[in-house]
Amino acid sequence: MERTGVARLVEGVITAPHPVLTRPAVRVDPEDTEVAAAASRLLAAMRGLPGCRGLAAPQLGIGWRLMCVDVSGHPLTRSCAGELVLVNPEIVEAARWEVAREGCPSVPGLTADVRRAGRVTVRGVRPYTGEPLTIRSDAFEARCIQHQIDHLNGLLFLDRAIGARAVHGQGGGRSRLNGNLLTHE
Amino acid sequence: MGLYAVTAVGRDRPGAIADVTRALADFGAIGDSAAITLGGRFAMTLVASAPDGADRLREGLAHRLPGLTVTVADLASRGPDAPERLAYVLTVHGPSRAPTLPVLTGLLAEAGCDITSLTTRAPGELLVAVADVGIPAPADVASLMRRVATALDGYRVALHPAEPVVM
Repeated sequence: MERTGVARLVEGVITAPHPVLTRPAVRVDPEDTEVAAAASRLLAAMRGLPGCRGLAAPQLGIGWRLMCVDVSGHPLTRSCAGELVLVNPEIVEAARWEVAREGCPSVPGLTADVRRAGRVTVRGVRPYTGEPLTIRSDAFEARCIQHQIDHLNGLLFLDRAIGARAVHGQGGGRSRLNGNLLTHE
Repeated sequence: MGLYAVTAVGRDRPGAIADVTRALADFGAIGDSAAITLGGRFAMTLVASAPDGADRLREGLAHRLPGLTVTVADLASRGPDAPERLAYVLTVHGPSRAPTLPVLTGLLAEAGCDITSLTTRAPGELLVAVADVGIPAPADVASLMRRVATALDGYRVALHPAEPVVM
């Protein structure tokens, strides 16, 4: 199992440009205790970032196929699996393609219009137990899951911008999430 | 009736576009236009037709839009139709370094590609460029991707067909 992250995370998430964000993450053993520990870190980071609805391990400098989402309470949410952590997730079905504007704590200050499936079926495994899961999601949760799986494939939402006029600044300044306390070893 | 390219640049504020379009409408008719905030400043480009000459239009707009820098240029009559091109969206992002944009656009020009719209954003150390690109048909897209990826080592390059939804 390769831990490809080169960054020591103090707080917050890694921001682009950083190679860990453009490199495909590797599959891991969901029952490995290190993976379980990373899952806990990922959840803690998501809970600690105001407005954050999902994170993927590469955003913490960890090149593993591990992600979490929680869209509870978001106004665009329809399906809601609550706090969901998945190891080695894969999209097995996708339908109802829709365009919506996305942002990401790893790309502070920018948003983009991105076309994604409005309904997906995702397979993955729970950390700790290794229990297989099949999740059927739609609307905002489906979009959030696809965004995180893109991170695991080394893709940012910018790579899916639907056109030159589809990338937008957020008030022209650095967002609160920029300049996270990240140091490199 | 002359055809003109008009640009207006200045401090961004609510009503800037309304002022420009209202002033221009008083002198002629507005065709294509694009407005954007660049580095916190308002910038608008318009194609307009007007009965009077460029000098008169320039003077009139400058008088009506005192807070904006306005330019007016004569446009020649429309050229021949462009050859058939395939519509793609090109995205490049990576470290913010000065030569990236000229290298990218130079490669596209060498390949005969037509950039119909281009947006660049540079928040912090990140540079993002997204271009609507017309690639001459038949297109060797893989070759173009290889050339761009080689020239912009360390950058993420994505090229995908533009997917208009036709109703």
